[in-house]
Amino acid sequence: MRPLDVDVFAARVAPAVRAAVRASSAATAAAREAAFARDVPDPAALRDLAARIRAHALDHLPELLERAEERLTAHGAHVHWAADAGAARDVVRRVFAERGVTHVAKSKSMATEEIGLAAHLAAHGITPVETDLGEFLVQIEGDRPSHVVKPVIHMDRARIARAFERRGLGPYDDRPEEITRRARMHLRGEFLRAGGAVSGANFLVAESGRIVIVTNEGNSRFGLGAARVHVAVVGIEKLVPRDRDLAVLLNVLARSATGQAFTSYVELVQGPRAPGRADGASELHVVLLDAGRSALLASEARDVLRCIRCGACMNVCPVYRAATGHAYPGTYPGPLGAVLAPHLAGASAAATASASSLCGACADVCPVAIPLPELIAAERARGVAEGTAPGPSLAAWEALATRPRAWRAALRAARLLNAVPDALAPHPLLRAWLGERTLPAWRGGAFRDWWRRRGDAR
Amino acid sequence: MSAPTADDRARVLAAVRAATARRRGRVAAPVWAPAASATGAFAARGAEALDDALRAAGTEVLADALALVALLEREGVRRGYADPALPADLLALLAARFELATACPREDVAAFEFGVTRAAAAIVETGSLVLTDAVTPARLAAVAPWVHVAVLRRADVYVQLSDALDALADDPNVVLVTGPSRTADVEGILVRGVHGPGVQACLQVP
Ligand code: SF4
Repeated sequence: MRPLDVDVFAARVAPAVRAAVRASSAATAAAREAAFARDVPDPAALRDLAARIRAHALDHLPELLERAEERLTAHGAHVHWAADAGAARDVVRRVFAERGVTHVAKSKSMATEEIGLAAHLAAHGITPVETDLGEFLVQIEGDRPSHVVKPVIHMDRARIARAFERRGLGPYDDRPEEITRRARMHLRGEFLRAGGAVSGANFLVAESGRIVIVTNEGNSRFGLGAARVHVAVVGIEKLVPRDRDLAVLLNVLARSATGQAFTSYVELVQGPRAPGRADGASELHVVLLDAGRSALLASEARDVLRCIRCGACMNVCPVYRAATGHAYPGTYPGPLGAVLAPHLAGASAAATASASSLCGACADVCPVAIPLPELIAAERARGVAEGTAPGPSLAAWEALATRPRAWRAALRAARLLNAVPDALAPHPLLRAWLGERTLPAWRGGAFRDWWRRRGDAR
Repeated sequence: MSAPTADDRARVLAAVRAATARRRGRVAAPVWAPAASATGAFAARGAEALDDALRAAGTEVLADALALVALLEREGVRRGYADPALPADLLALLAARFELATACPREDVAAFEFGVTRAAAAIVETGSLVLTDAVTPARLAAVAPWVHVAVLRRADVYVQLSDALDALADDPNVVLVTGPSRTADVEGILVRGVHGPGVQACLQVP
């Protein structure tokens, strides 16, 4: 069965939600641009370096994985391998069940989201509590995250305040400070009660075996400090060779994700706490998760494995902004999801791949230079070849992207493409979306050159 | 349904090996000088820029122990923890003015309103404090209270992030703390002090 076409979904998105997602995405995109302009002398060179570090790691993944396993084991951690989501879920559940852990504090992790870990644990009598404020809201609302960095970009304060009220966290109060204070008070009780902690990892360093976990809230710091048993679910693509490589990747990650110069807490975990210490888990388990990644590595779309989950590509994507993250069927929305989801979740390739205007904004901002539009176009072609391509739903977007003349005319008319005149929009839904500024600012960039060359080659 | 993990190890590694073996022209390890990863305005000014870098990151800089007392009074906090390995005169000063504990048992964590610990180092480039298990074993005392003060020896300063990472010793847990705990999950509005400190400070000692 084909998921709902993205533009059909988009037409149903409440205008207030769309406006909120658009405003938040645009603000973060602007903050990102300002951060690079302010702090990075040569952004192109830094991005090239980040891309090469990740590409090198992917090309040497077997050695790096074995090295990381060896280092982690030497530091007293247990390393597990999981070929698929089911194996990963089983390992995590067994680790906790065998140690009598009934409550676990989870920090934000797309990998655990991807394998449906929380539901699996809950079904087996282990209560998982999401501790990132956004993920906590997703959990108590029975919702899905709609962005890789900002899970509740689609919720306004009134909805959040009502959710807290229903959850018994006090009478309705929609002030962000009060919501945050209540989350703080409530969740510290959960941290101190939990015997287990579950995290993902932003990176895994081969030479040291360090797992890197970044948060702004400090929830992983609290959770790992308070738990007896820490299980980290780490995609096998997260490897980097050396600790110092993090200097490049962390610098581009924070700026790309939020426009901050650096994330508040960068935690480097190498093993269980030393004997005689009071704080920190006495057991560390690392689950190395494949679940489609090795097949992806062997495919044409392998470059997407460089991704550091910064969310920049969705923040600038006109389709994401208009349709919101819930329009995408997998765990990962936006241009990233359009490439990744079909491989990881086994969903129809074409359904998500069609959810792109191929405008190239994502390629321009990706900090590890993933050629997203090229990969999306390939996924779409694959969908067509497999007969799963959807109808002409996003033809309008494509028309703009593939007709340089119309594109440039729109550009001139709209001054730097911050708005396209409605009259130029060849599709009623697109016209409706374009009521506000949806298209990304023109930045030139490599994508359009690529697209032109591709056109010439045909 | 799911295979035992020993099999999974062989399967995953075999698949990854097959996927990479086919590659021609594998990307070589990039070689780069520390300067290539330098960001921001502070590293170029060297260790002197530390105070500015900390402040830019949202960390308050305390010139001396009296400034620390003033900060705690300003925040209206009474009960707290201080690392017993801190200088005796600092401990005495705090004990005279506040309800001070030098142990941080799990049961008391939620009751502490401030925590004073040591920091292993600081990083100028990012305005970060480096807390290691070796130097800051009381992890919860550094994260749970509303105010965290990291006491830093002036000599323990790295200019660049890459310098600090190059020098990392084996340690079960190291955290780079850059400003207070924060969230923007509610409508993108920045709020400080979610799970960690709402007030992050650094006291420098010789
Ligand atoms: S694909 Fe690139 S821009 Fe998108 S989340 Fe990944 S690293 Fe960020």
